[in-house]
Amino acid sequence: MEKYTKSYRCIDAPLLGAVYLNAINWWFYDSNLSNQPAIDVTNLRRLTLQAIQSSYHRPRLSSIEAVLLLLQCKPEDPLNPDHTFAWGLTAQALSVGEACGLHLDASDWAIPIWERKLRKRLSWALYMQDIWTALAHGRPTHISEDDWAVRDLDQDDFLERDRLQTEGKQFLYMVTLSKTLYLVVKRFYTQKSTALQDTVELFAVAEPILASLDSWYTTLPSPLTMDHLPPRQLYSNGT
Amino acid sequence: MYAGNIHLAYYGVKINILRRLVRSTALAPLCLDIPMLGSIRQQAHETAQRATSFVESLRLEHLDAFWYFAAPYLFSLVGSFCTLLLVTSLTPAERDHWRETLSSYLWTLRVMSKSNEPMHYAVNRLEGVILRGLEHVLVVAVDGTSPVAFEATPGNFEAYINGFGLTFTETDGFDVNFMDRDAFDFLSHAPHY
Repeated sequence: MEKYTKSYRCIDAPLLGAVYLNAINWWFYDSNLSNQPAIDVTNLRRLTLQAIQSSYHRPRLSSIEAVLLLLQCKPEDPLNPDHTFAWGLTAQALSVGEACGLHLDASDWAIPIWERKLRKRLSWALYMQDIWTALAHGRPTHISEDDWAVRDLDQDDFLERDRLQTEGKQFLYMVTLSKTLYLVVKRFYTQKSTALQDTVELFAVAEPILASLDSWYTTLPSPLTMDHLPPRQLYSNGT
Repeated sequence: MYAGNIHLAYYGVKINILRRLVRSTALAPLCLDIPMLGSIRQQAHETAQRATSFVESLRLEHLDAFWYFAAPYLFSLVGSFCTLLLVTSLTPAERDHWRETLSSYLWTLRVMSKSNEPMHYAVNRLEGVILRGLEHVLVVAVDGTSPVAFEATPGNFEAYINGFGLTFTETDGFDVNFMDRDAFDFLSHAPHY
């Protein structure tokens, strides 16, 4: 964010494009933009995708940030979304991420602390993108437990800024939930495990997972509980 | 990211576990553990109830907030789970309850969908597959000795959604004949589980 305040040119093109694509949903909330025609989203999407994939020849962390953001935004045809393409992009992101070492434990690497934290957050973001997309589209997850060495997140892995307090917590809790989802997918939704229809056996596997899910839910801190209304400012960025 | 995403995601994970359990009760091998069946049914009821209430409680400022990419699928999933409970209902009263819940949920989605794209997707998807009777087609062989008394005479009982009195006359300009079937790979894979 500091880079952006200097000039938009300091931000890598793929990332800039992806941020704009997401922000466009709230074009009309800005008093300066709302009376102007919206930009050409189709073109922006094409350019952003092109920029992302070009960057894959020498990928940077911002390439992965960009593709993850791109995967959040409203599809070109929301009622007939291109799931196959999205899943392909997700798997590609994971593969390129692996090339960047995002499946490894970077805590001892000779890199600045901010990069260590960013890597961790990005790793888990990739993990979540893969597992939720696999679930939603009915595809096999490409994350393998044996090859995922990333350590668990904690509060220290987030930037020290008040505004990100709640968002950091949300991210953290979303990650722990996603790890449970990974278990659910592996136990119930793989090609092998879907053959199991014996209720008694399924129940035995399900009980502990359901119990841990429910206990996780009770630990949600107060800014994340349902009775907590969002402030009047809308959240216009994905984390 | 709005906190509603966390709750929706939680229901998503829970429902995905429960629907495997519920569906297995309608398929061989037959489960004879009555307390277990009761527990599954009760947890499923509670979860479906809470999930639909959660969605119905959302307000305009929530609808306009950021919903992550899986939201369209998750809103659909809640409806899909309700239809599963509908077709596996054990009594007419239960069936009526789920028919009512489902109708109310779809109505809520339809009304809110003007302000929320993920919900728009979900309601079109759900109404589309329900209209075509694809949602949760279960062929259940019922014999006289089964302790699980589906409301049918012995023989083959084809439980599909339109057989439960749910008809949709309003398609909101959505032409069933021209729907792109390839796009619906979410729920069309779901009945295999």
